[in-house]
Amino acid sequence: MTRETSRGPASRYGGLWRGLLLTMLVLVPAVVASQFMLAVLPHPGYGDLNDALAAVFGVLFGWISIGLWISLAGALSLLFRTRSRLQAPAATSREARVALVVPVFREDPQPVCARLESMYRSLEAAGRLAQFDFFLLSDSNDADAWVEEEVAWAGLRARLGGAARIYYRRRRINIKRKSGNIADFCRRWGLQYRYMVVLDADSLMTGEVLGRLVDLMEHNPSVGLIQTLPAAIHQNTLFGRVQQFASRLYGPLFAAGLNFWHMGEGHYWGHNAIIRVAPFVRYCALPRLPGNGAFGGEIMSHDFVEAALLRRAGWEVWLEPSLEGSYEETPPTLLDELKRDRRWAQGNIQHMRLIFARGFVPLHRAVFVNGIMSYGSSLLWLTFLLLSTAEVVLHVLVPPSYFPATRVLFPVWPVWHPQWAAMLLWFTLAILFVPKFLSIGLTLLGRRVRDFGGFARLLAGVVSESVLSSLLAPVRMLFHTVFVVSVLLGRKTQWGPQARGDATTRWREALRYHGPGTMLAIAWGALVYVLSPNYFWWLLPIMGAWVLAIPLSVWLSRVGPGRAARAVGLFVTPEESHPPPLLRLYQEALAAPGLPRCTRARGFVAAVVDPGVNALHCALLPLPGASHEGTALSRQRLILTAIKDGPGALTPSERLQILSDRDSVAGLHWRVWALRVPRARYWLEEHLTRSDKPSPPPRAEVRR
Amino acid sequence: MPLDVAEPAEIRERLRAYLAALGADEGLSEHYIKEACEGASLAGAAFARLRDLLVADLAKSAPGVSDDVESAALARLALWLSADAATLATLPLTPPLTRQSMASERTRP
Repeated sequence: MTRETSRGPASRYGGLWRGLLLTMLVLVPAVVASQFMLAVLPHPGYGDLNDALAAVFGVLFGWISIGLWISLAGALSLLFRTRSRLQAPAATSREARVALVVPVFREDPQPVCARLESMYRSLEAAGRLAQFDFFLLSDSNDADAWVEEEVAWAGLRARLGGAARIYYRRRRINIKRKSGNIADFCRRWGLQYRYMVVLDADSLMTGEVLGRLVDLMEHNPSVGLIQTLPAAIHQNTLFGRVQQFASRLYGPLFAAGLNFWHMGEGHYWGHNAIIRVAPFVRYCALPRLPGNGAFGGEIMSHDFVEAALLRRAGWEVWLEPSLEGSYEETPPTLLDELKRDRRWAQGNIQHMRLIFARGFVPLHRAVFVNGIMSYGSSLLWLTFLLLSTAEVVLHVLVPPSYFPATRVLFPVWPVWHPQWAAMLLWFTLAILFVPKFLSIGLTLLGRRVRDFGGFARLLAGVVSESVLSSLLAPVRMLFHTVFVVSVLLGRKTQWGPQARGDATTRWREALRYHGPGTMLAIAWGALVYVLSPNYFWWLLPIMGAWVLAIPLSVWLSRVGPGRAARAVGLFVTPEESHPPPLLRLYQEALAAPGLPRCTRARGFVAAVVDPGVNALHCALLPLPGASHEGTALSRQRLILTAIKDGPGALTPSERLQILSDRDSVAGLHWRVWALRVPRARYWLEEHLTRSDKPSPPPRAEVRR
Repeated sequence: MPLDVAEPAEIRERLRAYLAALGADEGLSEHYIKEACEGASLAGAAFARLRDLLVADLAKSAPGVSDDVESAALARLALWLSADAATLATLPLTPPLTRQSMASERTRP
C-alpha cells in the first residue's frame, strides 16, 4: 500500500481546519491579553521593558488558553457523548498476531512480571490469549538487574506453564535506549506480528481493552497507531495520590479535547498504545541527529517523532480516550517527577530541530511546539517575574520625569492601574480553573461522584489539589527553567531507571535540591519588600512556595499522610472505589512465591552461587563463539580474581563480563562450590558450609 | 594447601547442600553423592563428577543436547523447576528469528 501521496481519511475529518481554528482561538486572546497588559503597566514607563513584559505575558496567556480550549472541546464531546470515529464490530477476525512488548531498564522485575501475569490471565479470561505473545525486552546494563530479570521471568513461566508464550531478551548494547530496544524487537521478530502493544514497565491493560484495540486496528486499516489514556494507579505517597486523583479526574476531559482537536493526527505517549508493525518498521526508525551536545545524538522523546513519522507516511494516529482499562503508575515524589522531567525536557527541546522537518502535518508540528512549551513556558514565566521586578525597581529608584519632552505645558503624571492588574490576574486564574470546574460538572452529570468518594470528598479533593498545585507550580517552574537553560547550554542528561513504588524524600535530599530555590526566594523577596512592599504581596505566592519547598517536598513524599488522606476518603479514584479485576489479579501475582533460592544473595552472586539461578543463566546465554586468545586470558584472570578475593574485588563491568560468557559463569559456579572455608565464605553463606572445619585465613588476610 | 575442600565428610556435606539447593529428593541426592565421591579426593573433582553425572542423565532423556555446559544447565534446571528435562530442552526461549531491517533507518526526518 503506498501512502506517501495521500494523508488517509484523517484529513476528511477536518484536522487542518480544526488546527487553524485552535490556532486562531489561541492567537487572538494572546494578542488581546498582550495589549491589555501594556495598558495595565505603569505609564509612562520604560518602553522596551514594557514591550518585553507584554510580549512574554501574551505568549504565556496563549499557552494557558490552549488548556482552556482543549478542556472546553473535551467537555462538549463528553457532554454530547460524541461517538468515537474509530468503530469496530464486536465480532472481528482473531487471526492477527499481536506482540505485547515491555521494554525495561533496571526495573524491579517482580512487579513487572506480576503485571505481565495479570495481563496474561486477563487476556485468558477475555478469550483473546491465543493472539498474543509477550516479550520482556531488557536493556539493563547492570549484572544484578540482569540476573533478577531472568529469575523473575523464569518464575513467571513456571507459574503459567511451559506453553505460555512469554519471552525474555536482553540487549548487550542498548543503542538508542527505549526506541532502539523496540526497533531491535521489530528487526528480530517484527515480521511475525501484525500489531505490537507497547507498554512501560509500570503499564497494565485489561484483556478486554487489548482485544478491543486489536479489533479497532483490524477494522480501521488506515490507522497506524491507537493511544489509550492510562489511568494512574497504586499511589500511596501524598504526592502520588494527589497526582493520581488529578489525572483521573481531569485526564479524561483533556484526552477527549485532544481527540477532538487532533483527530487522526494525534498523540503517542510511548506506552499503552497499539501499533501496526509493518508501517512502523518501514517509516519509524529514528536517525541520530547530527552534532554534539543536548541537541544532537539520539532522539530522546521518540514517541512524538514516531507518531509524526507515521502520519507523514499517511497513517492515522488516534488518541482513543473512551477505552477504560488502561493503567500506569506515576512518580511517587516531587523529586522523582522532576528527575523524569529533566529527561523529558531535553527530549522535547531537542524537537526544535524537527519542527520544520519536511513532510510533517501541521498538527504534529504543533505537538512538537507544545512539548517544547511544556518546559519553555517555565523559562518565560521566570523571565516575566524578573522583568516585572526590574520594572518595579526602576520605578522606585529612578525619579519620574514629569516633563519628558520639551515644550509641554502640563506635566505627565505616572499612571498605574492596580485594579486592572488584579482583574487580569483573576481572569488568568479563571482560565486555569475552568477545566477543574468542567471536570466536576461532568462527573456530577455522569453520576460518577461516588467513584471519587462522594460529592463533599470530591470537592474537598479538588480544593486541596488546587492549593497543592498552586504551591508546587512555582517549584516546578524553577526546576524546569534550570532544565531548559542547561539543555540550551548543551548539557546532556543521564539515562537512569525510573523510580516506582513508594519512595520517600529525605530532608538532606530535599535541602540539596530545593535549598537554592529557597535562598533565591528569601533574597529576592527581601529586596522587593524593601523597595516596594506593595509588589511584594504580588510575588508572595511564588516566593512563599519556594520557601516552603523543602518541607513540602518531604511531607508530600511520605506514605503516612497519603494513607491518612485515603482513610478519610480524600483523593479517592474510581479504581480504588471499585477495583477492577485486573488489579486484583496483579496483587495476587505479586504475592505469588518466586522460585526457591538457596541464598539470600541476589543478582550476580546468586548467578554464581545458586545452582538453579546459575543453571537458568547458563541456559539463557547463547553458545560461545570462537573468542580471541586475549579475551579468553582476560576471562581466566577474572575468574581467578573472583576465586581469590571474592565478588567484592570485581567491578560492575567485570561482573558483566563474567555473566556474558557462559563458560566463565558455569566454570566459576563449580569452582566456588568446591572452595574450602574461608575463601568459600566470600560466596557461600554459613548454612551451606556448616560442616567445614576452620582453616587458616587466606594469605591476603594474614598480610592485612 | 589445596584451595578445595579435601575432607571426605565435608565434600559429601557440600554436595548434599548443593543438591538440596536444587530441590533434589533425598534418594536421588544420596545416589549422586555416592557416585560423585567415588575416588574423588577433592571437592573440585567431586563436583566435576556430579556435573558429568547430570549430563549423562540428561543425555538419556534429551539426546539432542550435545553441549556439556547446556546439558548440565538443563539437568539442574529440570531439578530446580521440577520440570521434565526433555521438555525444557525443546522449549523456545524466543520465537524463531525473522530478521528485517528498519527500512527508514538511513533517512532523516
